[in-house]
Amino acid sequence: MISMNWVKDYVNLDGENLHDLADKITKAGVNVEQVESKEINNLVIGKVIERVDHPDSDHLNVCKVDVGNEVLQIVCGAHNVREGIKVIVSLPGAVLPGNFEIKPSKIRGVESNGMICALSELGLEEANEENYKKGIYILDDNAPVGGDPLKYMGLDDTIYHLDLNPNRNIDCTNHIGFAYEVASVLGKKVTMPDITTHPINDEVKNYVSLKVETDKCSMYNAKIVKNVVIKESPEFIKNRLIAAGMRPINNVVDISNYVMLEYGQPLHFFDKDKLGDKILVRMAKDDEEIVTIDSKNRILTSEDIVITDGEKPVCIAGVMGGKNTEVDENTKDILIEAAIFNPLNVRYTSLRLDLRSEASLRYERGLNYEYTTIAIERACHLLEKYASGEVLSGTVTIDNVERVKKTAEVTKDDVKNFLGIEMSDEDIKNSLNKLGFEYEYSENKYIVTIPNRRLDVAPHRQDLVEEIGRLYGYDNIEAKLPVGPTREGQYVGAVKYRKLISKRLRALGLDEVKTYTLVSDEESNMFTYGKREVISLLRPMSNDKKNIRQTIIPSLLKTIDYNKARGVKDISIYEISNVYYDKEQEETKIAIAMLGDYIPNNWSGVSVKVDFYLLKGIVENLLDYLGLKNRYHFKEEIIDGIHPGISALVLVDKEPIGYLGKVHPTISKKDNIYVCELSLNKLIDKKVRPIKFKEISKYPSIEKDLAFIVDKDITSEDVITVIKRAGGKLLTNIEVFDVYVGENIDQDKKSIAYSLKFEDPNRTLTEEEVMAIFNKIIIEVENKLNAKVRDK
Amino acid sequence: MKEKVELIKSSLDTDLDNIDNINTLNEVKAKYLGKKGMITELTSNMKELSIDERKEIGRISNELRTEVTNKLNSIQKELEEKAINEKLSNEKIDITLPATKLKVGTPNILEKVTEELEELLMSMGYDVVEGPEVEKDLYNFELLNLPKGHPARDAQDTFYIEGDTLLLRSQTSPVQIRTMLANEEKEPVRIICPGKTYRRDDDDATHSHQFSQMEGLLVDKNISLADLKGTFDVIAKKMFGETSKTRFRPSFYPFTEPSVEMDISCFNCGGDGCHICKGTGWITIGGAGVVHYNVLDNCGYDSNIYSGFAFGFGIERIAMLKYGITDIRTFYINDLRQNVNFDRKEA
Repeated sequence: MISMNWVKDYVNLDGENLHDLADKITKAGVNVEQVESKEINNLVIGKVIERVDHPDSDHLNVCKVDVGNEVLQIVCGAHNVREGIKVIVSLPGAVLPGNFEIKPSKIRGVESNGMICALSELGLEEANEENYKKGIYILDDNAPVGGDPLKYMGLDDTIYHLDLNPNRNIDCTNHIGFAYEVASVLGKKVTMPDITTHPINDEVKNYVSLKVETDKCSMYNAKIVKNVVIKESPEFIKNRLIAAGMRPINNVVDISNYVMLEYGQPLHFFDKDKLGDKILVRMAKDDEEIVTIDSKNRILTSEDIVITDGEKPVCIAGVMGGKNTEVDENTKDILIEAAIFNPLNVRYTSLRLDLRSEASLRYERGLNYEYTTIAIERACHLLEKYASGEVLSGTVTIDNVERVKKTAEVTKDDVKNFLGIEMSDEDIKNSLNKLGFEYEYSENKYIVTIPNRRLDVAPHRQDLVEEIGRLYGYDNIEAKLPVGPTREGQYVGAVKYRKLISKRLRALGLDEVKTYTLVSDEESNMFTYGKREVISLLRPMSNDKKNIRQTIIPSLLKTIDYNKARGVKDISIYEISNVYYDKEQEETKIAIAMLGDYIPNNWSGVSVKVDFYLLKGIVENLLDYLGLKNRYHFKEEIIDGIHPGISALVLVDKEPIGYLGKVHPTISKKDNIYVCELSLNKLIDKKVRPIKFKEISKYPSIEKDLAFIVDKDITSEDVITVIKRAGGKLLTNIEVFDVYVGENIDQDKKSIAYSLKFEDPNRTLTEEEVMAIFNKIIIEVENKLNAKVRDK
Repeated sequence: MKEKVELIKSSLDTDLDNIDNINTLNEVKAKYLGKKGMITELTSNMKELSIDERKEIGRISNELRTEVTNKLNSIQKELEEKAINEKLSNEKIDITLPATKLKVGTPNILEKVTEELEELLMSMGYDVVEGPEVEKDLYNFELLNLPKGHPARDAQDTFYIEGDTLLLRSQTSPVQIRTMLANEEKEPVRIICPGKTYRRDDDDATHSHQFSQMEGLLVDKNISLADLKGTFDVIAKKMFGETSKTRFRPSFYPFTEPSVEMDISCFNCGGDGCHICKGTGWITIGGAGVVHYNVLDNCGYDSNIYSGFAFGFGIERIAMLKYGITDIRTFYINDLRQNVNFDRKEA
C-alpha cells in the first residue's frame, strides 16, 4: 500500500487527479488495483465560542460554533466540549461512516445544525468503548477555522493498493521507488528526502568496532544516536505508517519502519548499552541459539547469518533481532544497522524459522547499495528531529559491494524488432528521459546506464526495449501475423491416439470426466493390479491429496457416488489421464466405469442394461476401431477390487493391456458397477496395417444352427476354437445365439447354440458339401470337448 | 328369358346394397358371375335358340356381366379402403409420448475448450505437444530463467516430490523447453502445449490445486509483439466472438522480456464496464511476451539470431468466462446433469 500524501513529498502532484494517475501507472505496467480515498464531504474546522447546559438535559451541551462563514448552534453530548477549543464539525449534508447523514434537527427541543465529532465517528479510530470515552477530538490551536480538518491532520490521504509483479516488488513497495515510477509516467523529477544531521563532536568509531567474517554480508554500516527520547511519533509518521499497513509503536521503532518504507532498506536498531562495543558479523554455528524479540528460542544452522557482540548472537541477520539487545522504553543510545545480506540466506533462514517479514522480504528481493548508505543518514535525521537524539559523527562501515555500472546498448531497430512499434528517436529519447535512465547516443545506438534503483532491469537490449516500450504504450503495437511456411499443425506422438480414442468412446455414448491426479492413501490402495512404487508429495496440503494416482478407477467411483447421490441413475463415464510410477515413469490410462442402463428404460419398455458383456462390447469396439480385430482375447484373471467370477484380462497379441470386470461387492455393496482400465501406451505400440478394400462374396451363403451341451467349465471360446479349426475357410462367421442352463440339461452342463455361416467368394456352395463340414464340426466338438450335440 | 334378365336386374341392386364385407361380396360375386351364377346361366341353354336369339342373349349377358363386374370391383375397392382406414385408425399413436433417448457422450468442458483452441491453432500451423506432469525442477523453473531461490518462484508455490529436483509441474512451459532442447537442428518452432498443472492452492471457487493451461511458443527469426498481437486477435475472435478487441498491458514473467497481459474487450458489455469486467471494459485472458534471451540461449537457440513469442492461457478461466461458470470446482466435480447443456454446437 502506498500513501500518495507521502509520495507527494518526492514528486509534485499538484493538479493531478489521483484516479487518472492510477490508470496511467497501471497502463505502464505497475498495477494499481484499488484507489482508496479517505474523504468526507462537509467537514470543517470549527471553534466553540460559547457553551451552555441544555435546559432539558443533565449531560447535553448547547454550543455556538464558528465554522468560518457562519456560527452554528450545535447540541453536543461529549464531556470534553468547552469554550475556546477547535473541533471537527460535520455540517448538514455530511455522510459519516455507516451511511449516517447529518441533518438539521431538534434535540430535546433545542435546534442543532451539525455535529461535533469524535475520531471514531469519522471512521478514523475503532468505534469502541474506550475511544468513545475520549469524547470529541480536540484540534490544536493552529487549526484554521473553516478549513478541512482531515487535510489539516494529514488524513486526507489517497492510498494506492498495488498488485505488483515480482520484478517491481523490489522498488515499487517503497515510496521513493514508487515516486520514481510516478515521475516516469508523468515525466517529472524526484526530490529526495532531507538527510542532513547536526552531528556532535564525538565519533561512532570511538564506541564500536566492526568486523565481518562472512562473504554473505557485502555491506554493513553502523551509526550511533545518543540520548534518544522514546515517545509517540508525530502524527504524520503515524498516519503514513497506518496508510502503508504498519502499526505505529513509538517514535524509534516507527522511524526504523518509516525509513524502510521510504527507501526499501530495512534497518535494525540495537540498544547500544546492551550491545557493548563490538559487532561481529559471521555465519551461525550449527545448533547455536538465540532468543529473538518475540521471546522465542531459535536454534540456528551454519546457513544463517548472525550479528554477534563478538561472542553471542544478538540478531539473526535480516530476519529478527535478539531479545538481549532490544530497544525498550529505557533505551538511551541506539546503534543503527544498515546492511546488505545474501538474499538466499535470508530467504532460507526466514522460511525455515517461519519468520518472513516486510524486512526479510526486502533483503530477499535485493537491495540498492546506494540507498543502504543514505537510509542510515535519513534515520539519523529523523531521530534527531523526532526523538531528540544526538547523532555521532562518522559511520563504521565494511563495504565489499562490487560496483558494476549496468550499461547496455539498444537501437531503434531493436525496438521495432521486439515490440513491432516504429518509434522515432525523439520518442525513444523521451522514454529514456522519463525513466531517468542516462544514455549516450552514437552511431544509431543508445548506450544506456541503468540506475541501481532498478535492480529488476538487466543490462540487455530486450530489458531496455521493454522499459522504453511500456512508457510509450503497447497500444501502439500494430497487429500482424507471423510469416512462416504454410502447413497444418499435427498432434505429436501419443496425443493424436488419445484424441482418437476419446472421440470413439464419446461416440459410444460415454461421457468424459476429469478428476484429480492427487489421491489419498486409501485410494492408492484400491485396484492395485499391477501396482508399483507410489509417488507421494513431500509436503502434501491434505491427506486426501497426498499421492499421485496409479489408477483412475477410484476417482471414477467417486464421480459415480457424487452423481448417484444427486439422482443420476444411468452413468457411463471415462477418463484418459496420465498415472505415475517409480518417480518419473509415466503411463497414460484409459478408464471406464458404467452403471445402470446404457440405453435407459422408458415407457416403451426398451432398455439395454450395463453388464459385463456390454462393457466387453465397448472394449472390443474400441480395439476393432484401432485396427486390432482378431488380435485380442479375454482371459479369466483374479484382479484386486474386481468380482473374482466376473473379471477378465484384456490381451492384445498375447500381451496384457488392461482389465475389465464388475466392481467387487466389498467396494460397491449395492450397485452393479462395471469398470475397465487399459494402457494407452501399450496400445500405441501395436502396429496395424492400412485399410484395404475387400470384395464381398457375390454368391449366396448358407447358414446352419447348432447347439452343444458341454461341461459348465468349458468356455464358449473353447468351443469356437474347435469349430473354427474343423470348419476350415468356408466357415466365415460364427455367432452365439443362445446360452441355456436349467430344465432338461444336467446341473453341471450348459447348452450353447451357434449360428454358422458358410460361403465361398467364387461359387455357390452345395448343400452336400456344407453338410459334410457341418458333420465334421459336430464330431470334432463332441470328441474334443466331451460335448453332445443338442437335439432340435 | 326376359323374365330372367328382369329377375337378375331386380335382385342385383338389393344384393349390391347388402354387401358390407369381403364375404358378402364374394357371395354376390358367386350368385351372379360364378359357374352357376345367374348371369352365367343365361347363356347355358342356348342350343335350342336361333343364331339371332343367341347373339341377342350373348350381348345382354355380356352387358350384364360387365356392369356387375364393374360394380363389384368398385365395391371391393371401397371395402379395401375402408379396411385400410380402419387398420390405420387402430394404429394411431400418441406422438406426444417421449422419444427414445439416443446418447452420444460429451467431452469434459475443459476438453471441449481445449479442442476448440487446438483446432484453431493447428490450422495456423502449430503442432500440439504434450509433456510429463511429473517434471524436473530444471525444466519447470531453472531453464525458464527461474533459478533456485528466485523470489518469483513464490508466486507459484509448487508440489515437490523429491528434494528440490522433482515436482508436479506448475506450468506447461517445461514442454517448450523440452521441445526446443530436442530440436537438434534448431529449426523454427511453432507449438502449443495443453495440459494439467498443479500449484499449492487451497481449493475454493476461484482456486484449484489442479488446473489446465495451454501455452504457445513460436520461435523464428524477426518475431515481435506485433506477431503475438495478431495471433491473439485471431484467438480472441474465435473464442469470444468476431467483435472482440484486444489490448496488451506491460507485465512480468521471468521467461519473457518484454512481458504482457493479454486483455480482450468485455464480451458482456462490449467495453462499457459491467460486473464481469469489474467496470474496466477489459478482461485479462492470459500472459505472454517475447521469449527471454536467457531461455532461448539455455535451449540452444542463439538469441542474437532467433526471437520468438510465448503465450499462456488458463483453460478454466476461458471456460468460466465463456460459459459464465462461477466455481472452478465445477470442472472436476463432473456433475453429469450438466452435460445436457453442453451436448450441442456453439451458437
